[in-house]
Amino acid sequence: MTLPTTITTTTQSIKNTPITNSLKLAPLTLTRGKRTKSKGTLPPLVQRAVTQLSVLSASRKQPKLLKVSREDFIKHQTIHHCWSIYQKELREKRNVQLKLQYKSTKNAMDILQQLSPKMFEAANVPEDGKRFPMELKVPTEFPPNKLWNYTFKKD
Amino acid sequence: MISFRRSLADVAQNGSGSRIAAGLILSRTPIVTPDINQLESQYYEYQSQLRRRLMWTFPYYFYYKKGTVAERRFISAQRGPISRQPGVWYPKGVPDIKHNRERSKKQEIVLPRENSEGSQNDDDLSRPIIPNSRITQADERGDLSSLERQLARTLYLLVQTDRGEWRFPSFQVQNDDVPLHIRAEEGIKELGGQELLTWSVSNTPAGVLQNSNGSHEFLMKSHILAGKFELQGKKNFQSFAWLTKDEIQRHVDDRYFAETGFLLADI
Amino acid sequence: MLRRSLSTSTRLQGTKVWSDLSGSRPKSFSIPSAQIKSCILEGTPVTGPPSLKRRFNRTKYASPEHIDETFKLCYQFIESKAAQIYEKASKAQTVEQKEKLLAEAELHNPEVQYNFQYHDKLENNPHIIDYEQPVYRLLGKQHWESYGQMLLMQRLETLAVIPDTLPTLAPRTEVNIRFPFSTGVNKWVEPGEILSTNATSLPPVFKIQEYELVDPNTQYTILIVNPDEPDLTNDSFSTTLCYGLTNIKLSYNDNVVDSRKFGKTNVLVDYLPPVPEKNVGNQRFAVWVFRQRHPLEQPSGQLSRTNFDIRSFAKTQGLIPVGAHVWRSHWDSQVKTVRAKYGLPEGRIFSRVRT
Repeated sequence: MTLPTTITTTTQSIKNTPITNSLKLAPLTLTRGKRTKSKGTLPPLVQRAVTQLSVLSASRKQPKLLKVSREDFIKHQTIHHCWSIYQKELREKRNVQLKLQYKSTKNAMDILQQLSPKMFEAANVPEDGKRFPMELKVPTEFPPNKLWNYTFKKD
Repeated sequence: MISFRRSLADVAQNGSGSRIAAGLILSRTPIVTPDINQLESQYYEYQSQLRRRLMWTFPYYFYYKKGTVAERRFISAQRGPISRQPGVWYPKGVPDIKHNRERSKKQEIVLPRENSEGSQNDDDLSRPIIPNSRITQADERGDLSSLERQLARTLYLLVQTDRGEWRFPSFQVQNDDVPLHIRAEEGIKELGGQELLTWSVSNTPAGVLQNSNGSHEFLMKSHILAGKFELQGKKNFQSFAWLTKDEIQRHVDDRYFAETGFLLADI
Repeated sequence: MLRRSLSTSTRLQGTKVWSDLSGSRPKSFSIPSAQIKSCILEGTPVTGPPSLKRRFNRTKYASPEHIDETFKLCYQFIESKAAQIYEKASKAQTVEQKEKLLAEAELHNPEVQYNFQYHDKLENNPHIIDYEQPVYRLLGKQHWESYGQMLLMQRLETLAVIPDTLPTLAPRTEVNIRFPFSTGVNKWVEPGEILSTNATSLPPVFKIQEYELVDPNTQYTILIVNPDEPDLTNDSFSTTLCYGLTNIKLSYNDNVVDSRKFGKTNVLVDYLPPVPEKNVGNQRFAVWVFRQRHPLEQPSGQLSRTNFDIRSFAKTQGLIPVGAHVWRSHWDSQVKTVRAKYGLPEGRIFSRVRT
């Protein structure tokens, strides 16, 4: 029976040893006006990361849930039905036009093949790697100061 | 078709004995975004208001460093929300404010004005932004031959034959070895000047017009990107115009438009 | 700005098919409350939306911005499209096409949508939701398919009502059942629910809602079968016919089958309430609704309750299954009273046999 004896000895030893080495009490000195909480002591890099993360976080930034009355909900639905009908019309119109264009191209190529096989081959060459030219601009909401480049010079 | 009759002599006869011409639909793509109609503008406005209402609060502390003059100016420019006071009756609901924003309303951000009002100097970065007009002088003059008209629409080049008919320019193919799109590009440069920058969309013709005398005109598509188009000698065509799809419908006869109209963009 | 102008809508501005005041339009196409109607069509009044009951909530309420102006423009746009569809419908060749176009023309009418979304669809008021109108049938069908139909099919499949009674079901009519209030369960029964025998002691009331275009003279047969009757001789189960009604006429709005709707001649078999014997477990009671091809003759006397073959019955009579429902019962303390009430013999008590 060695085990219990060892246990008793250890407990005794804990009892006997003073607690000073485990919990050292610092002398409490109260100074009036001294800042007790550390404030703004985050290192600048950490502070920056905190700010950046809080920009992404929804906490304290989300608005209240939008609650609409029955009437307004019906109005909202009507507006969206209207929009989807309108978009559907545009889409159908566009699809009809695309189909016509495809048919027209096919017809042109068929005729070209009969008329001139050589030109048909030339018109059928794959155009891999063809790119939009740099000069082609995306439309903007308002025009630029210089509307058109009239002075183009071939190199 | 005057152009065909004129060049009967110098047209290469193809194997089958019929004549081929390369027509060109030369377009100027829109420079400004399309005009929107009333329904679209109203719908976009409604959606944008909804989106603003549902948007997160603007994190100004990310854009303005704490304790700077810029931050102070920004904060003082904001119209703050109604704050919540104890014992006050709020008929529109008790304010619920977080980060200086009323959570049940959209947030209106006011940017402090930094424009120097009187400055007309183009180099001054803080000069007020005045957008250019979407309607140009060419529109006001009604100048059909200008490339600067109808900025929101695609314009197409049409030429007027000696007979007074309007049509897309077309060029006889002399020689089988030259592909259609190259012939069309060459032709437009002979017609409108060498200093033109064009970009042909494809080798493939977009359509074909058959004439009563058995000749075929293959329509190629191309964009004009730079340069001034001017008729070089008025021997075949008396004038030219840059027209939108609607205007083309008014200028050409109905049969011609029925065959080509669907190749043109609505915008 | 005039490029893609609303040419069609401006052209058809005069044709106000929805806001026609001549009174030729059905009452169900307009919102019954005048206040709510004007709030939707003319814009929210200063006092707030009338659907909010408390004055405090009305003053507090703020509509989304620009909603009224946008709505007016959109209303005009859809109304002009509806006018076009009405014109097409007047030239429609077949009845089905016309029905489809008429439904389409009214589908996006805000008043119809309001009526349908905020009123009871099951116990409908024909002045508000009128299933005679193609548009309400279309909306009703969409609503049913979005939940009720799926729930029913799931219950029928997991409880193996199909294929235990009939091979399968292509659901076309919505069937709902409820039991008289005196029995204690005052609600429409969800498919597959376990009901106490006391609740089911009186014959149920059926509501058979048609959403399709059907001949108004179509007659219906309703059968309730119990496929879980223990069959000890075969060590299996047999099907019992619990209730049979036939030659029942319905309309789109008046479609609740209760004792006022049929007489003695319509009853194929009287109601036998569920009285499961002790320890048989849950018994399924499948309700089947059939469309008839022709009026059924009264096969009284020949039709036996026990060992009822529903498949051959449906086949010989030319019945088309269009709807179903199911509930479950098991033995409980009320079985004894129900048996006594109907003069049934005391039930057997089953027990496990160790083998």
